[in-house]
Amino acid sequence: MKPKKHALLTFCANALLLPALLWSAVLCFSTAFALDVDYTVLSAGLAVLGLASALLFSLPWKLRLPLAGAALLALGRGAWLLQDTLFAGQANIQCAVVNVYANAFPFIQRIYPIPQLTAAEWTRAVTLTVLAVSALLALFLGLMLVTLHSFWGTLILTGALVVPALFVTMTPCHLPLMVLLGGLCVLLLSSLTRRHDPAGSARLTLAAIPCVAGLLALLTALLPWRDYRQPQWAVEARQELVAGVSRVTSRLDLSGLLPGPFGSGGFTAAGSTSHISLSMGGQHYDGHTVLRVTTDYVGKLYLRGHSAAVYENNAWCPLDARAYDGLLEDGSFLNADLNPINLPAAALSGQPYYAVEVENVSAPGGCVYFPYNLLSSPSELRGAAFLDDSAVAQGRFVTKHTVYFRPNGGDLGDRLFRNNPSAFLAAYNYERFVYDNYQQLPQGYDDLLRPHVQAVLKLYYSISRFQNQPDTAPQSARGFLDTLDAVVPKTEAGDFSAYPIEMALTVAEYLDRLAVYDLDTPAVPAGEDFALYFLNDSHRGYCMHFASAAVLLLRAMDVPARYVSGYVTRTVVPGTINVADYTAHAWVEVYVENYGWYPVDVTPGYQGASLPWVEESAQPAPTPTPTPTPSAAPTPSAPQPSGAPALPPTPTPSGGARPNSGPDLKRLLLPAGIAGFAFLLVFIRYLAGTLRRRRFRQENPNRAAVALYRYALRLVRHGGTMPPQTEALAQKAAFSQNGLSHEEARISRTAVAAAVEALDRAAPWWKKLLLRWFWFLY
Amino acid sequence: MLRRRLLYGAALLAAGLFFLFFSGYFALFLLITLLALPLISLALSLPGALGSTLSLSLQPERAVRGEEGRLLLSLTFRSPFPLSRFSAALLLEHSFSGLTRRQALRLCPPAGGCALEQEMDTSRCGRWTVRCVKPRVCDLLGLFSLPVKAPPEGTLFVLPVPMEAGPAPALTGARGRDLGLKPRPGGGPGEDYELRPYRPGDPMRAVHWKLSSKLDDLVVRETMEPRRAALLLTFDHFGPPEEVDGVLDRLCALSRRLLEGNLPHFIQWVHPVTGQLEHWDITDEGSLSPCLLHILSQPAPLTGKSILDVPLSIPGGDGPPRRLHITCALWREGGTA
Repeated sequence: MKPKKHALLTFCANALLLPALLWSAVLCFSTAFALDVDYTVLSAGLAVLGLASALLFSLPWKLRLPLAGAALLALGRGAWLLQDTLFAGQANIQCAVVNVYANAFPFIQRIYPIPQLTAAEWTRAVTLTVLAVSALLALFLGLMLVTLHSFWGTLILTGALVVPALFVTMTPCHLPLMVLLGGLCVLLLSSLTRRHDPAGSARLTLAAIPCVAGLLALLTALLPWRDYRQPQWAVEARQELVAGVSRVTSRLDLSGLLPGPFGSGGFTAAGSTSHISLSMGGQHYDGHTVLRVTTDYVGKLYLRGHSAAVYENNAWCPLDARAYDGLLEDGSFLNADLNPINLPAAALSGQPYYAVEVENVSAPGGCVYFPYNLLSSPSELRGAAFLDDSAVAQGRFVTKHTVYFRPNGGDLGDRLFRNNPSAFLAAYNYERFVYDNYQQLPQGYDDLLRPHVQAVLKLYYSISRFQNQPDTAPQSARGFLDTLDAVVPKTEAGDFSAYPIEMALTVAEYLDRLAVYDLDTPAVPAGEDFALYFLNDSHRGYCMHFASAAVLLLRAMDVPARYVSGYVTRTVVPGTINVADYTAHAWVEVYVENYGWYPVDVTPGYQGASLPWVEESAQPAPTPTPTPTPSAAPTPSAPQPSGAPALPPTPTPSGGARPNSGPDLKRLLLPAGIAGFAFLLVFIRYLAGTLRRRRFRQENPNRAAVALYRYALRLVRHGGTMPPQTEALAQKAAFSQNGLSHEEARISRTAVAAAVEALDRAAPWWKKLLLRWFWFLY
Repeated sequence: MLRRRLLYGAALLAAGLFFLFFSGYFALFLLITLLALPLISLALSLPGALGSTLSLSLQPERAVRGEEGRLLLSLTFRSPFPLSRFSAALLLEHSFSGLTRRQALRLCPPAGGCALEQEMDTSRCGRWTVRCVKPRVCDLLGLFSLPVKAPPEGTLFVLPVPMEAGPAPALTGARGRDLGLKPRPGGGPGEDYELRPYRPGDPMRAVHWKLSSKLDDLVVRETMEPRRAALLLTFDHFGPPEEVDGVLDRLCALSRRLLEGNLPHFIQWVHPVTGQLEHWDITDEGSLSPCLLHILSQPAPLTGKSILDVPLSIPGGDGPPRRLHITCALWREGGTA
């Protein structure tokens, strides 16, 4: 009776595990891709299929093979009879999967099934198709689980249904996902014992099920899986990891050696990230391409990446995602298909717009680098999504994006929010958020920055009083006056909305007079604050210093401001340009009421239309055809004069980035590696041979004989034979009172040499290679 | 186990990277589950691992050369679940050849336990010593290795083959073992005695007063006892294996033959390694057995110092011993009688 009892126990365990795995894997797939199935019928069908498969593969071989064959025949026959329905179901499933991928990858086109069926018919077709495929899957699962006892085979079969969904961040329904995870864990626990003790393993399976189920239930109860947000430290860790890899691959310059994002400077440190550490020293670039930009627009382009709101511990960080609860959902205002980044473009409706295609070649940050003022709304983005109000996050493996922008900043008096009530309301709600979150300073900074704030205000008042009478202004102030006059947008009388821009420009002028631009500025000393050290002590820095100090000064002056990073370049003709890593830059955005974020460059040398380096010529290319937005103006006009952000027209840049060329290692890497490896092999072989000869010829013949015996044992392990003289002499050496003579040691040596020779003659060529160059036997 | 640990480490690393790069909750669940799984595995394995008992036995403990000898290693535990792996090493040492063999064991114990049985090589006389070292059991995932108490070592003596003794060589001499008489130490009654003059120190009760009165001098009656020659069997504890086995066969046969004839004797040989003289007094079967076991416990190399090169000496012996040096040629056609 005992074997029957064991067989029953084993069947019970398999009958629990197999249907659970089948049901969970299929339902994970169905829920992840939102298939139109009847879940009740599907679940019942999967349970039956799972049980049938467990029963089939529990039968003896004599019954199993014919029954499996009959099942396959029946399945084939059924598929033939229902081919129309199955074809329709297959088409529906294919469309569902492809369309999910199309949402993630813009280069994939959406598809739609051809047959015209009613909703009920579609449900029936899809359910039948899923069941048909599941029948086949059940057979394979039964083979893997019950017959072959293979954990890896089962993992591959079930994982193949889940991984494609996870790949595009589509998490299946919670229950089947947990059942699948639990089933695989139980299988893993019993995998080592299933073969040699099926009955014991079955008991183990039955005991492990409640343990694993309890663990997963506990996790479900304790962890906030419904509204889960990735922890901040995980985001930072990912940033650090990517930055670290960027630094390594950037230095190695593996372009040409490795494909994809690993080659062509796949990861680079120069660019924009959500978390910016200010602890670095001098900046060095090698001039490799980070972006490729195609546009008809001609002029200076600020390609915006991430912005940061919080300054602490010598770093810039974004706001906590929870701060946006109630304001934004999935990057969009609650009542408008707009993001705060879109507000300036929405305010300037009626102004011409341009298309720009930005291809991310090797820029970091995982964001889309877009020019001001972005017109593409959240629903219009493909392969990207707004990240709160700070950036546009790049979709996974999507490197090219086409967006639309209005380059002309225009006069703030042209703002047309009043004709766009939803945008106006969104901007109004957003303003309160901005004033609550973008004026914060670290504790004590108000007092520490007061001298500089006073100096800025003093500078402003000393010059602005000449605004109405510029001819009476002193020479030193005329440049700044011209800037104010040319750059600050005109407003109606009593409208002080341009005040933030004026203050930002004044801060820029103040910093220009206070500090010098130096790309080789060393890292801030330990214990010192980045911005304060720049303002009070060093008076030298590059764009990050100027931008950080400017944001803090503006906030101290009650102007909402934030730190922005990205690239700045210029197109001279319509076409394609390569944006190099040395164009990485940081600037400031100030918030203008009823407008949005207004960018201001506060770094000396970047003013006006000039840049501190010479760009390569653009490659003329056909302009991408713009898809008109619902509220867009028709056909873009001819290239406009430069409408880049407010730039004081101070001539002659004081410094610039110097593209450095790093060591070209890639040509040496491979041959050096091969040569090094070969040398190592030769060296080890030589060393092994030398030591061996030394042991065999040592002064003490007894020890030599024992060493020879041990060596002969190694030969035996690899197919050689033990010379009888060697064994006998070794025994004599070990046990006899007198020991061996040198002559006897020599006899043993000769015998071993003969054995080596015999082994080498008898071994095939590959074994000879192994014996010489892997085992170093001779 | 190393492979499993590496796989687990790789899985943990992959889960960690998945957690960093995947923004959904599933990555967190997967990571925590992977971290907790070894604990569940330990919890299910511990009852079996901690309650396991390992026993080692060699049967029979004394086997005649050529007979079947078996090694039995059994692992038992009271748990309804199997263990993933039991690993140990068996160290087998043969006294005569000095051969030490290390045999790695890997078993997959089903629920309740398992046993390993293997034949022992009894083709040569000697003593097999078997030790089980580093016995360990693994948990269900093969990540943790838990020690098991090692059993005491087992011993198997491979005894010489009993053989029909041939004609006993002339050990006893023409007068048998009788070499005359000698004074019995301590005196006492006896049939044979000798008369001699009194010497200072002789006990008064030994004085023959009747004769002394006649001779006007003290005469002592000294009890005599027969002087018997010691029987000595010697052999060399080295040489080719077949010869050593043959020598031991003949030694045992002759020794038993002498004991059957009520002739106690001595067995001597030289320790093959230390060169020390080994001496055993064989008075009955009970003293032959430990001597044999002692012989079997010593190494028997190919060459060594022969006892023929050592001067004869019998502690406490009477006169020159009668010796027979046993070789393989004894009772062999063309050999010694």
